[in-house]
Amino acid sequence: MSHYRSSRHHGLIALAAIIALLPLVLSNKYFYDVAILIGFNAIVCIGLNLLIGYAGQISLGHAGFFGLGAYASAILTGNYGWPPVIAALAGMAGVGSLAFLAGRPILKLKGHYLAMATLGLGIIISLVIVNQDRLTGGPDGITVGPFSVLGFALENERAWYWFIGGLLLLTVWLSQNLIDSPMGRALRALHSSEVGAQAAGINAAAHKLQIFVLSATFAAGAGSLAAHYSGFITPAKAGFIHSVELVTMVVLGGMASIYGAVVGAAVLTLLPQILTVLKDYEMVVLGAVMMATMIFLPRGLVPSLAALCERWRDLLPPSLVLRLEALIGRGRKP
Amino acid sequence: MSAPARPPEGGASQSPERAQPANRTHPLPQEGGRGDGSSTPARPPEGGASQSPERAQPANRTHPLSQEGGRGEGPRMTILSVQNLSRRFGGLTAVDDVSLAVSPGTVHAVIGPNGAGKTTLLNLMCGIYTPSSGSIWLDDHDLSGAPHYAFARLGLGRTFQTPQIFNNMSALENVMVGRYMHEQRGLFLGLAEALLRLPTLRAAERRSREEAAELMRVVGLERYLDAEADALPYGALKRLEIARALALKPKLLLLDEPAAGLNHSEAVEIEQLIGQLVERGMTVVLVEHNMRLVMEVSDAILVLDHGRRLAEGPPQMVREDPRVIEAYLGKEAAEDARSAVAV
Repeated sequence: MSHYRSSRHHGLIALAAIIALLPLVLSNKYFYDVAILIGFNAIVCIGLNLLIGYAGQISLGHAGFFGLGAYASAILTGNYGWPPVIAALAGMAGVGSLAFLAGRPILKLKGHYLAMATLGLGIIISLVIVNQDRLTGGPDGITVGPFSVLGFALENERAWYWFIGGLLLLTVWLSQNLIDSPMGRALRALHSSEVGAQAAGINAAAHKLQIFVLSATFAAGAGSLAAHYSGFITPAKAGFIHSVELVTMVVLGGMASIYGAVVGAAVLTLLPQILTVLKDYEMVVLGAVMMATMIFLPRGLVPSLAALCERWRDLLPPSLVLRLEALIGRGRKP
Repeated sequence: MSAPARPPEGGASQSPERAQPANRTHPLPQEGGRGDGSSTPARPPEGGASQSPERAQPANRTHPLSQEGGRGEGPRMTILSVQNLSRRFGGLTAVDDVSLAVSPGTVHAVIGPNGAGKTTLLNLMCGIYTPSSGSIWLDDHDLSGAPHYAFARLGLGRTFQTPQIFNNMSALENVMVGRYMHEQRGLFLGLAEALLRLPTLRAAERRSREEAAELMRVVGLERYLDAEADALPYGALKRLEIARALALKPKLLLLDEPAAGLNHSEAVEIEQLIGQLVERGMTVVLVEHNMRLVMEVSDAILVLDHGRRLAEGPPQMVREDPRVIEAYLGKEAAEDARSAVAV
């Protein structure tokens, strides 16, 4: 355990170092843009991984929550002149409440049925956004004003980069704390054996609901900020395809691994950008890369690579092993 | 021999308890027969049947309770009281009108041939199934129909026939999960504390870790303090479950076949562990197929067959009950056994 705890700090330090050093290679606006996008996706994926990877409950409607957060910010700041921070918090609270109300009946379902129900929820949200065009601008989307914190406006990519980088570190830290707490153990327990968890006095339904709400709130917060950052939001961000993208990032990066969510978000945000050089074959290659990953690293990038390191650690110099472990944060087993 | 004893017992449960309330409530738990009109006729034949006097004692303690168990004030000295419990699955009555009363500090075993309804009874007694009829009292809480976790919160720890281990965490963390309800601080405070890892939580975690480690030592798993749960051998998983159940600080421990799948020496170790727990004042309900273990540790045994109560009493008595032998071995063997005893 102490091992895990110390490596937890190592992981956080490693991530902070990466965020701090990355601007050295980010030579233009476009690179910053991609990095910021990775940050948004990583925050949503960490929240989603708490739900899917740790608590074992699937959600195919998370883009709906992301979209609701984005539209809440757009409408509350644009139409009602709310300060962006207040609007974002209100959006998170609103989405949290919605997740609470919808989650109560939905989370009684298991497996495929839960997937279907959350899928339905996401689709309903995106339909409402498309059809309430007087408020949301319909399929054309809506413009969103700039973001400012306490009168300090985030004007350029650089400012956004540091802001999102800090927020990502905060999200990782909060999530790690949660996982290594009584509540986190309860979540992991009910994932592994619900009946065993109940025998330990854990109210499984209440905990599933709690993590569902928390996870939805993370998504809403990221959605609010992403809307301000891009200055424009369309219903596609709340759509089914985006939900699937998010789940794919979690699975590819590694279930029940916080750094897995970050790596998954990074890889699946970067890859399409890189593969654009292949033009028509972009999607084919992307699909092939994903399939290969899941076949050869079935537990996802981070946990599978961590297991490989474990196997190879005897062959490598111990100091290097320690450094590598620190880097990947010793992803927990799914 | 116990056949004649049964009817008066049945009668006793209907007998006007309220008619002599002063007599009724107190004498119940303390040595049954004494000064208690209605249950005395039931006692002698049983007491006589069991040769060993030291065995007769716990039987006297548990038995009178099982008759009336008592709604309301009765269960004070019974930790767990099950009354006329039935559970039907479609047309099948898996548990049929079974009553059971467990007094503190005793081991109460439930045995019976395969399909007798033992596991169903156990699952009813911890809230996994809801009873079709009848009631379950833990101390003075009526838990009939309550969810599984509510039983745990009121002090009922249990283990499973197939260990329900959390494979996605360390062995120590498994035991720490058992401390969950002692660590819980409500929805918002708990969440805030967990997310921010406040100093209060850190202190509580340290304490939890120490207590969990201590429990692992109690069940003899000190070797695995740093191990991941999925690295433990089967026998150790059984103990790990017991440690997790003990972490609840339960008033009552339900053990579902703790020796199943264990070799002889491992089973003996489990037996010793149960003995130690009872010495520390733990109350145990035990479902087990290993008869040697059952006879060794139990104060009273309830025999089920086809969902019904076939016999109940101290081990010595149950062992010699022809109906029990018949249920296990068939009629012929029972007759052989009877003639052997006669010779």
